[in-house]
Amino acid sequence: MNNHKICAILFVLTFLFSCSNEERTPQSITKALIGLEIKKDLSVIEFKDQWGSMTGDGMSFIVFKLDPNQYQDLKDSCKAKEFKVMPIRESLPDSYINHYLNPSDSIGYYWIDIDKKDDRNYCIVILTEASKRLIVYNVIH
Amino acid sequence: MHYIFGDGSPIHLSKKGFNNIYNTAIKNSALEWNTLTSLGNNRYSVTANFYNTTFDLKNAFGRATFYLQYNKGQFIPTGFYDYWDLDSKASGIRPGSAESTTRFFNFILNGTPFKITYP
Repeated sequence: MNNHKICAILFVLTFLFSCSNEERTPQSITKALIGLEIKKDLSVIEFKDQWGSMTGDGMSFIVFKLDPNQYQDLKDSCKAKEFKVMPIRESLPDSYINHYLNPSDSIGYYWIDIDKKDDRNYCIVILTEASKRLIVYNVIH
Repeated sequence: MHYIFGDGSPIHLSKKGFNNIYNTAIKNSALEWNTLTSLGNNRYSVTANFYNTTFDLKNAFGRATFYLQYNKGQFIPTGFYDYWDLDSKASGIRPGSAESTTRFFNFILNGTPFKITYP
């Protein structure tokens, strides 16, 4: 093994060790996924963040509950990020998110990105007007 | 090894291999039934999350897809699909340790992604 590979391995091992205590929050994940700044006072009613295989497969799922003022702020941010108007027109790769949408959630805004290499991988962010929630779902197979 | 030495051609599971993986998924409650998606004609896809199964399956598949046929009140497994790759993502999408691990193995193995299918 040449010196470059040894250096790279040491670098990665050091990085792995340094990352072991990182704080990963619903807010930080949402910002990483779509650049939306979420205030810390928003209540989180559901949060799953499950990763672990060497292939990088995993999922993040977050539901924020908003009050009317928080909803209005986020609505403006979503519009600025060119979210689409609900209802969702794309065919979703799986039905996971449907279990978290009420019939009244047909009004709101959403953003979706489906992986071109593997169309099971996608990220969707939904801002619902009636139930005043921000739903974030990112899955990688 | 197929990732390192293969040319990207798919791996087709044997019936026995497929049944073993499905049975392991069932035994470990790895099927995420809330991802069940209708494909029409009583055919469905469902995600298997091997995160809480064996070390081998967790790292071989991570998350994979089973295809099922609904018949007489029960789901019959008919197919399997996974795309095996070590693709990097932008910072913050995965936890730092998971992203580093994926990039590390991508760098070390430097192989070609491939599909795993049944039938």
